[in-house]
Amino acid sequence: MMNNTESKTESNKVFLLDLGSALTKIGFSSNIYPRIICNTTYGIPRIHENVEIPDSNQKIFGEDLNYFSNPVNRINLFSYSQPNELDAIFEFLQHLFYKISLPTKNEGMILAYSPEWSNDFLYQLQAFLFQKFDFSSILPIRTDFASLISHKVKTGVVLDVGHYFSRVIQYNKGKPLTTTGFKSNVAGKLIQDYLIKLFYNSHPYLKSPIFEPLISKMINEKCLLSLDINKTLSDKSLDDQISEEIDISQFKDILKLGIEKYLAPEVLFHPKLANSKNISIDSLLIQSLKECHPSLRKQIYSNIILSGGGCAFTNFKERLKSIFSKIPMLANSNILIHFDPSLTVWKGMILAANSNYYGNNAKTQTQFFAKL
Amino acid sequence: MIHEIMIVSQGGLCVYSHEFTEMQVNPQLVAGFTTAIDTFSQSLLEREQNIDSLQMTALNLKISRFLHNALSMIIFYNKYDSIDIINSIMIDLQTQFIESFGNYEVEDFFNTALLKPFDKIAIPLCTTHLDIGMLSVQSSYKSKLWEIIVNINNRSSGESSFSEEIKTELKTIEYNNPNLPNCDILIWNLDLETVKLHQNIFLNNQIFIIIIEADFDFIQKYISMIEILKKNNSNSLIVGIIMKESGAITKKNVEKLLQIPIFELSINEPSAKDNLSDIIYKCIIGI
Repeated sequence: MMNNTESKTESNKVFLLDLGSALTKIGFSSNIYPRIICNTTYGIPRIHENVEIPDSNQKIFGEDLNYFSNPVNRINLFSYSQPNELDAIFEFLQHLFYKISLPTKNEGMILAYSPEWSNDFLYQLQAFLFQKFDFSSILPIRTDFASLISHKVKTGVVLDVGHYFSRVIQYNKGKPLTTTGFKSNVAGKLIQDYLIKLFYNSHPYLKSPIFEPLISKMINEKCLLSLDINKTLSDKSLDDQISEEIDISQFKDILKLGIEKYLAPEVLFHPKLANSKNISIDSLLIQSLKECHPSLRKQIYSNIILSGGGCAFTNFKERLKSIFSKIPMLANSNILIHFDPSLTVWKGMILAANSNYYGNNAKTQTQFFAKL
Repeated sequence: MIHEIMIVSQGGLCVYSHEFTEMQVNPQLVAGFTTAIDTFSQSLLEREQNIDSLQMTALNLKISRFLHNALSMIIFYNKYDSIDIINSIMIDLQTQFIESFGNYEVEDFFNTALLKPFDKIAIPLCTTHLDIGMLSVQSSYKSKLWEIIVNINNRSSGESSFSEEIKTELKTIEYNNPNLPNCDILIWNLDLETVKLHQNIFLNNQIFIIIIEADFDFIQKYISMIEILKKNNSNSLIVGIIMKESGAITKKNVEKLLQIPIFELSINEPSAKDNLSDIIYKCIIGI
């Protein structure tokens, strides 16, 4: 499949949509980066009498939410990878599509979907996209499969550290061994919650959803993993050396972010710190190895593909490598990670769009509705 | 424990005070403040309102009026003390006061020497019982630490009068501190690993001192136990002591990880006994 990487010539570009639980990415297969990356969230303005605020029921989507100066209530479109309000999701997509200009009639689309989604939701979403935007064809592609093919491999194990869940899915010759794989809620949200907890005594207001963007920004831009956490925490001067002040302008307050930079992502490997009973991501992968048929282990675990924003921390790969070096079956595995792991699925979608895979597997409107 | 008791007249004059600890409170300042805040609350609403208690970070003030509001009694106590016990002491104190001095006019109390004999009644009544749970895991530090605690009470002899066998078997020990005369302290030797199984015992404990090894594996293993303890004993004072010999994680970082106040102790140093005694004193006084 992926050995054949000749470009598909029938259409110039394919529209790509990765509707993640935390972040949505849309763009075209001709672009390396998504045209829009925004939170999968909408905002409802809080009612004020004195300012020009639209109707209180009007939803504010995507990037507009970040630039909206008045206070808004933020509502996530997904909870634990499950859609909250179908209509709001459709409105959200419609808004984003208008932003980047509507697709023309001949355009195709790749839709990345989570294995957590129900078939019903996936069908409804495709039906909406066909009817509303007149795509010529749509190819739904599992996010973990997109991650796999982003590295041009067919066999391997995908560790996807998402917002609500971390998943491990084993692939053998392009086919998943289990439908849902192995799952733990040790993921991005736990890191967020733990960082809030670390600051709870000094800045309790950070718990408010209005600070979610700030917390995400701190995690994405400032946090990193330690190769030896015991050593890091034993360094008396480190906290002062790495400490930086974060301006919380809304509250005219300053937050001092020091050793928390190391502590927050540490919950991925030690979830007990955040009082979580779920297993760490390294244990999740080891557990999946134990449950894999012995005859397939060597082949499948030769490639470990890291995907998702949770893998983007500095030293993530090295940390996993040092843990796996003690496990004979994993010691020589290739750990594959892109420069920006949050775009792993996106890269896989681009590769799928530019290969025969799209042409062979995408369904036209007629085929889709005929099947229904 | 009770730090101080005061009796204040309706006009804002302190007519009696007794200090149990070295708080060095200015009684007249407190009297003026409580009277002023009472007047404020009365004028705030149509229905008469009084201030019954004030909460500070580590200390609480209980205020109760008696003798047809002519006098107010104020007790300074620790946040971790049971309010039921303080209320009961307050009632006893007021009853005894009225029995002894009820036949005087309020103006007579302005002669503060008149109420000096009230010391003899008040001091014994203000004695409270305090349980301290010393929580640790089975390790060499546990036995060493317990030995130090046993020795704290034997300062004069310089060495423990307990046999080795008794030291390890003791589950509780009475702790005497001359600076805390109105406090009967009982220290419990408890196991951190069985924290979930001993909820009934823990309900009686007002202060928990957790012996922590400054090692990441230890912290991540026992952090959930400490969380349970914090959740189930929200009114108790929970502090940690890190053993310098047990690991190298800094005190500041342990405080961040566990979100409780932390003290440091070097168990092998000759000053360990004094340092531990000082830590216990600080906890009882209210850090």
